[in-house]
Amino acid sequence: MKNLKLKAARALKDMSQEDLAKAVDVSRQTINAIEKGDYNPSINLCIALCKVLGVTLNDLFWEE
Amino acid sequence: MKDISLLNVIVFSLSVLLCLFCIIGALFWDKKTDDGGSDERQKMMNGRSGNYSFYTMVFVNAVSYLAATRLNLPVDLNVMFLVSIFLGALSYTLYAIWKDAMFTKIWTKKKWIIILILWILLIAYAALGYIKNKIVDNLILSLTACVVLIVVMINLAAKTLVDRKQLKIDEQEE
Repeated sequence: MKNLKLKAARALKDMSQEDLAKAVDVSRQTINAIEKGDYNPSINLCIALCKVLGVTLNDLFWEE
Repeated sequence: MKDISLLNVIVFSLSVLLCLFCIIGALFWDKKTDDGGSDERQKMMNGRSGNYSFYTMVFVNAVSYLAATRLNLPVDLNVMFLVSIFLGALSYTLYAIWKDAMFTKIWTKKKWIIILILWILLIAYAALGYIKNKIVDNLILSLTACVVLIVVMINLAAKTLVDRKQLKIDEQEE
């Protein structure tokens, strides 16, 4: 399932996939895979993403 | 049957010792500093690549043994053993390339291309030696390496094109 919340949060911060990837120290393809729902990140990476984007884990990864 | 000389035994023993030394060294290496710049997804993909590479080697070995023993085909098992290693490395590389696990912060695409060019030069040197002085006994290995390199190059180029196209689509979506 696509993670549109991550994409939206990134767009709100006006960051490209490359920018976010650099900020959390992963490759751009990994960010792309998370957004597409092809890869489930570790909890450490989830926390790093939340910190950079200024949101909580629930905001990004909790499904209603 | 060829005689097993003392020199061969010494070289073989030293090779095994070197392999053991490398394996033990890798096991005790500080994992935090030895990630090669890969992120967590790339490490996972590299693990899968390793599995597929191993299966490829086993499969090619099994087929060549069967061809030589059951079908009595003129297959040089020593050469086929090395060919299986080449093909194993090829399957590892292709899987890693298409799953975006090949290039990392440290092992960039530029470095890989330089290594590939150096490898091509080495093969060209070996092929020249075969033509002029017959330094290389069996050209099958050089040819296999050539095919492996060409396949890797084609896949690298194709993946680069696919990535560029995908990036454009992603940017347009945003």
